[in-house]
Amino acid sequence: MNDEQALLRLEGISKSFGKIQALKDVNLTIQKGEVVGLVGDNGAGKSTLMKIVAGAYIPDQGEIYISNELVRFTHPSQAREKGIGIIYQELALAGLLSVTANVYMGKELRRFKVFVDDTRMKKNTTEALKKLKTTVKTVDQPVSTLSGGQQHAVATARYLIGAPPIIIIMDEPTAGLGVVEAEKIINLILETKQRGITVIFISHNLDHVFQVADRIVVLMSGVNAGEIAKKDFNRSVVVKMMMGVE
Amino acid sequence: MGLKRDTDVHLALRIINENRIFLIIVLFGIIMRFITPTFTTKQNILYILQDIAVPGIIACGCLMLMIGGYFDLSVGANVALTGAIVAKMSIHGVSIPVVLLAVLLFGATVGVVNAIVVIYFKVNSIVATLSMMSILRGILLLYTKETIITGIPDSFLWFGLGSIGFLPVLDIFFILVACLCYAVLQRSVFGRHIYALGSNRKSAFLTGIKVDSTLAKVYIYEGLLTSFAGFLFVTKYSAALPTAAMGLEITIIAAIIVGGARLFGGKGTILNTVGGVVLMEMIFNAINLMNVNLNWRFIIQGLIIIFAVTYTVIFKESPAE
Repeated sequence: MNDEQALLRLEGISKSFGKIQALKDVNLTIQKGEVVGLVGDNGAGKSTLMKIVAGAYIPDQGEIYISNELVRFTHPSQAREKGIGIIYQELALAGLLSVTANVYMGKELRRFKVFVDDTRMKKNTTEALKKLKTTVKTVDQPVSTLSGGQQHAVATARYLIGAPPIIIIMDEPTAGLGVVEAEKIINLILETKQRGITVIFISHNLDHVFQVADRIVVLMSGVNAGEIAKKDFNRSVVVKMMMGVE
Repeated sequence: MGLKRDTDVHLALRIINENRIFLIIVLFGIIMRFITPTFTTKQNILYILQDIAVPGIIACGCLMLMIGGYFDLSVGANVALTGAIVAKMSIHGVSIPVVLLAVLLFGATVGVVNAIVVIYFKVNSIVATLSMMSILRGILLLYTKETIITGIPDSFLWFGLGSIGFLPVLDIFFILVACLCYAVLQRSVFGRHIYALGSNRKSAFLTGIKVDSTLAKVYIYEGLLTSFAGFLFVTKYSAALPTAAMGLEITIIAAIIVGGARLFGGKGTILNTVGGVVLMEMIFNAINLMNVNLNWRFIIQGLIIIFAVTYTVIFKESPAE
């Protein structure tokens, strides 16, 4: 497959925060239906790169193409409209608000254009959580009362309601989770792939990445450090790339 | 069965706790009836009803702002300056609709300026609106040359002093505003976004809510409501004082906080805020009836804020984010 047919193509992305250059001339190509593992040490720029794809940061330089169409995101809502979904490492929840309000945050179902349709939102939220095999006492309870795993399910449920995204980015979804809960996430990624949704999976846990990824892209100190195809997956090769050792 | 009854009791207790302000109002009324029987006379209740409308309308706007996590300390100055504008225009024979239009234009302008300073210059909202308070007070003193403006035509005074049946006209406006704000906060998508903004601004942004434009709109609505309240205020007292509405911003914050809203956003309801305003005005009225020096109100409202905020901290009703 050549690059013009790629679902997502990033070209020469650079981003600085003050004097710190987080990303420098980074390229990334993602084909439809792939699960791509994005790895790198702390501060490699993985989350920054994904926040640029999701419209949360505006790059200083570089271009983003979705299905070969140039896009310029200045706000997360624009990326979402183009079918880019992201589950942030920090989950982007509002602790004081209900489970339902969190699942639908920023894309509330409406009645008469301006009013919220709480009945439908509650029903869909309950169904989405059921699909994720997560139980909460009630979808009216504040998210701050939930466990870590439940909170992760709430952030994930955002992409089970309404039209599915074309790409879903998961930033460290297994970090801080127990073995069973992490296994749930791994299965979720595989299921997502089966539904034909492209996945970008960021993780520090190489075992998790090896389990689900079709390809691994490595970043080091804000630059591309290399790519590895599934047949060549090897822990020491990846770690060397992450550390910049040839 | 037993479990079900448990959850029912739990739910009932939660509802009572969330609306405890009304329990406090009833208790306060009963206690005051023993201390001074005048408190519960029809005439005195009518006075209280007349007194709640202006702070009530302002509190509705300020609650929206506070749920979003922001403050407006310029409301008292806004009310006073609006009053002076209304007094001068009405004396010069400008018609009611034109005066009202000018009032709303002024309120929207204050809202826009507050929004610009807070959003684009990134000035903390307490500092920004405290500065706006100083600016508006200065303009007021220069504009009125430190004199009291009287002679507002009778046609204007209907708003502040008239009544329809037993209900003061003021309260009709208050009820309309409260219903409107209730619909916005509890039922509209815009309201949902205000809560999200106050609960976690960053999450609201990341999930695609346009946080800046949401906040700007809230400042403008709040400015409009405050100036409209300023119009009602001056028609109630039929004179514009250069020192009018001093400390009103503190009364408003006290009312909202005793109404159970979270000081830093994400939590609060119109119904409880209305309760908070009623309680504050009942306290001021009681001070008056008991022949206590009226300046005690400033001390009392200060203490109320400290007590109410401490209470929510002690009982962990304000979890972070």
